[in-house]
Amino acid sequence: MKLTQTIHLSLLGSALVVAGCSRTEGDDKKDDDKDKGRGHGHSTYTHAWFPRYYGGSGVRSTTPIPSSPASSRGGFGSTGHATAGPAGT
Amino acid sequence: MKRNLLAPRDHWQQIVEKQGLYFHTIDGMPYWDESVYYSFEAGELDALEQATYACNDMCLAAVQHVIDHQLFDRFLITPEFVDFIIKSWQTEELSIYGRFDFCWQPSQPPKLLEYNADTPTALLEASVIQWFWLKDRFPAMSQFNSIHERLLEVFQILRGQGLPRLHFAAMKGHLEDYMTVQYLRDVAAQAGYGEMGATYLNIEDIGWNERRRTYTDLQERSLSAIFKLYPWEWMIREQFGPHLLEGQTRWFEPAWKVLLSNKSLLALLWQMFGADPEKSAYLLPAFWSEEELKQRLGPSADFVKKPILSREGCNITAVEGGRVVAETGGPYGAGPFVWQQLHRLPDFGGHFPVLGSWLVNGWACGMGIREDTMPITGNSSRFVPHVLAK
Repeated sequence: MKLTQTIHLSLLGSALVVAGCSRTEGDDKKDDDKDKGRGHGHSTYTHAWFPRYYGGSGVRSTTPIPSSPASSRGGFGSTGHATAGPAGT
Repeated sequence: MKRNLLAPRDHWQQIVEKQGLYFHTIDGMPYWDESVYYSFEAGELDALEQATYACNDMCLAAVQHVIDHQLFDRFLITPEFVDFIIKSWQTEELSIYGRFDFCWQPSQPPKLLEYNADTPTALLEASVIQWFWLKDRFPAMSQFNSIHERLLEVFQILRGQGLPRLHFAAMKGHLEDYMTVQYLRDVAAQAGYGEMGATYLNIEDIGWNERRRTYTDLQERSLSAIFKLYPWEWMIREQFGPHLLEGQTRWFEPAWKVLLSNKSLLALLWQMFGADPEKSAYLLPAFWSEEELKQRLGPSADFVKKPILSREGCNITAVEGGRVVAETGGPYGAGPFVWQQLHRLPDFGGHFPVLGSWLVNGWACGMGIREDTMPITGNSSRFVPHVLAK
């Protein structure tokens, strides 16, 4: 039986991570607009407890967006919201 | 196995929040409950480990059995998804994790209550929170817990398989699900994916690009591989479900897990292994009808009735001595159901623990305990830590 010796966490423990739980696509777009205004491609933050930093809940990257028409969204998730409970067990 | 009392650490809420457990309190009561801990001897944890491997072996055999005997209707799998599931099995798509829930009465083998094979949570608590608690309270002692290391390994394997980017998705607005996914994302980043190679996406924000015939993220990148904390039985019935059949996305957990997260599994396992004295020691008799249960176990048999697709202890009915002794509500009351022989949880002064045994990439690697004052474990049942006493 192998036992854990060390655990390092980089992402967890930041209130900003939690804030991402209720973020919407609209929030991400607003942030993207703000980021563009500040002249950098993605938002970052730091937390004293952990040395590394991450973006918020939305995808943040400078990868070019393909020129194809936008995807439709919202095709997954309806059952979970209808049952009004978590998806985890 | 002993239940012990211990004063919680000062400011324990702030401590566990710094480790990512923001959902430590539910309705004003501790969900993470460090006023209690369980202690085990090494032989007991060895027995739990053995039970976990035995149940996993039986479950893998059950998947093959369903395919060989075309039993998909027992699992409410519609015909159009059968080939999709079979393909994920035959190509040996890797499973990251699962959690077996056991009832363990002293002097008996652990008995499988159910297998949370697709979307198990309570992972952060088992892997991280109780480990840091152990280091604070009993630094010289150990714990059945190498979950974190095994997760690191499995994400390193995935990276070695040429999956350059992983997305991680959970349903919007559910903090426990969200933090479970963020923990996995954190581990994947440490395993080599880095912060930009392991990205989060709400399950509702998964896109379908009609022209490119691919699932996409919010930046219109194709989803090559995604971990979704969202059950298969919901996905295949939703608007984007049919696209699963043509999409090139690699999903975690893999589609074959839909057979193991379904409580029809319990009846199938008993049908397959009930006559095997060694393997059946870990199982409870379970059937697809109350009539069959009474035929096999006797007309006065006590039982628990479970919807085959229920979650978080919803719509469970326990019948003892011919009367209902416990019952939970929920949205799954329409069934269909399985009937499982009632096996009482151990009673520690009115507290009933269920042992959740974690399997990561095929390794039995840790345990998390949930206890309740009800004999049915639900979403708000308390998580309590454990130690290896000797």
